[in-house]
Amino acid sequence: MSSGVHPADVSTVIVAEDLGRWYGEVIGLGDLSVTIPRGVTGLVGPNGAGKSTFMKLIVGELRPGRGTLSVLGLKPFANRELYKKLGFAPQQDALYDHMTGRAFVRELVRIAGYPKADADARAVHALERLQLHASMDRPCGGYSKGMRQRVRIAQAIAHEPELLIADEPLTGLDPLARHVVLDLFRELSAGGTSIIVSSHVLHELEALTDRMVLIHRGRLLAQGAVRDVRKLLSRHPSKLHITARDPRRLAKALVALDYVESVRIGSPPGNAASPSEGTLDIETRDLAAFQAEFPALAARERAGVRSLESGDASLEAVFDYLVN
Amino acid sequence: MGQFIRSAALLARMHLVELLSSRRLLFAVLLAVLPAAMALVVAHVAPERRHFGPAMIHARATYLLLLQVVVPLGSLLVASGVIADEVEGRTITYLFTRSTSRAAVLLGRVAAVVLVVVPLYALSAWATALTASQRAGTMYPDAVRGMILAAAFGALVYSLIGAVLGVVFKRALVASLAYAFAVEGFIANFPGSTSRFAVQFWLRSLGTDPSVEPWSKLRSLSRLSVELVSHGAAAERLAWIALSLLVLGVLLVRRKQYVLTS
Repeated sequence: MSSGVHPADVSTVIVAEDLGRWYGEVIGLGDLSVTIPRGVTGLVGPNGAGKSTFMKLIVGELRPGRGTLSVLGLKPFANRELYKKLGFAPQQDALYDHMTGRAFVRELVRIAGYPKADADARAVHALERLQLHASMDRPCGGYSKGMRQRVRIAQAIAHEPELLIADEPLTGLDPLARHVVLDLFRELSAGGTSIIVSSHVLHELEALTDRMVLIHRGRLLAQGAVRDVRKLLSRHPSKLHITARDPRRLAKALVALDYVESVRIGSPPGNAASPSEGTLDIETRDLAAFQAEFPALAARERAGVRSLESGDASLEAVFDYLVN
Repeated sequence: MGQFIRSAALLARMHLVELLSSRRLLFAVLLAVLPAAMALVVAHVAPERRHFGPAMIHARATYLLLLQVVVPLGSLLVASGVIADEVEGRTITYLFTRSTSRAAVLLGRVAAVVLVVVPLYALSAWATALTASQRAGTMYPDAVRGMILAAAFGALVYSLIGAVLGVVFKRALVASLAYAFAVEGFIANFPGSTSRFAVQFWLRSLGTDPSVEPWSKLRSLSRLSVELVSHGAAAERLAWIALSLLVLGVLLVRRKQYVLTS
């Protein structure tokens, strides 16, 4: 069994170079080169982008077809040394249904070599962190989809890994459970655990971390903070959404600015308390200049600006720009 | 090494619990009952003729049914799920991403199967002798002991074959059935030395003694032309086959990649 150590920087958890993996004729991942630092990183991409394949390569479930991959400085395939430091919450909804949640997590911890009492304490603690303590002595077969999802996460964190890989961990969770999981990830991150998490719930992923790896058709599309990635997309004007007491007066002033490409007056929001309020949707090709000049302009025009929000700096918007 | 054994033992216990409530084992138990049931029926309803004494009933039920049908099918059926069930259930991920050897996973789960099927089919051979002996006449204790040993060895070797097929093939049950019919059903009964390629040849050598009744009669009835080997040689060969299968299984499972659907 290979457990070759790569000279990896301690500040990075994953180093992939020209990483490729095919399933027969179908491409799973093609020429992916990416370095993922410690901390929380979101792995984003549409269905079939290669996120799950990348995660399976990271946890050593699959071997790369080409290129190299180093996880915590180790080659991942069937590497026992790595598995001491790594926890994996897979996407597939599969548990040992005849076992209780507690037994399921405990036995998996024991397989890794922990004594029974220690393994049980770890299992209970992990399940408590995911608010499953009330149902942990019931068979998994009777759990709801969200509970099963949380058990999968519990087994991944029970041995306190250095790196947690979570494949779509928010899928199937109700809002409360999502909150629990996201809080847990924040706690783990604060405690020094690096987390790589994939999700389709982009706004929640964005609330967890600003650092993203965007994959599309098996290739790296972009990497970094969402705002930084957004800035690279200069061909798309930045969109801003303004709520003001007098939007028409503000619009008149804004159209005079040469870096403002369009101004659209929206319908009033229907707020009975302030019936005169309205909205403006603005497109600008120089966001920095706009942000520098707008406060003075708003004060001069006395338009009663209530709010100013970015309309397209969200992960979803950035992702849309990148893939379309 | 200590952790390897602890992990394997834990995995064996986990798989044993699964097995005891599985449909595969239920089917294997039903198969195990067949030879004894057949012997019981024949012992009570067959006409009183010389070659239908208890020894011949036992020989026919064990040689034709237990050894050639029940042990291979039952053992392959149960053992083919050792890894394949985990792959099909997509739970293999949990076992293969732990800091334990994949070999421990395979060996632990195989041990659970062996702990179940070896006693099961040895018991089936013993029960068949017991029910056949309800017929008045002479029984041959050596023949009974030989067949119990052959059933136990057969269960062990076929379990390992099933486990290895389960490591390699996603549809391990289909592969096991194909093996059972092609090799143990067809090649084993092929005239000449070709039958040595089947496990059946070695089990027949171990479980029967052509020089004494009732096997000499059974051999003439089944028209087998190939010469069997001694019990010692057969046991040695079966032990080597079992060991080779274990090594092969370990080598394969350490390299195998399982593509699971989400």
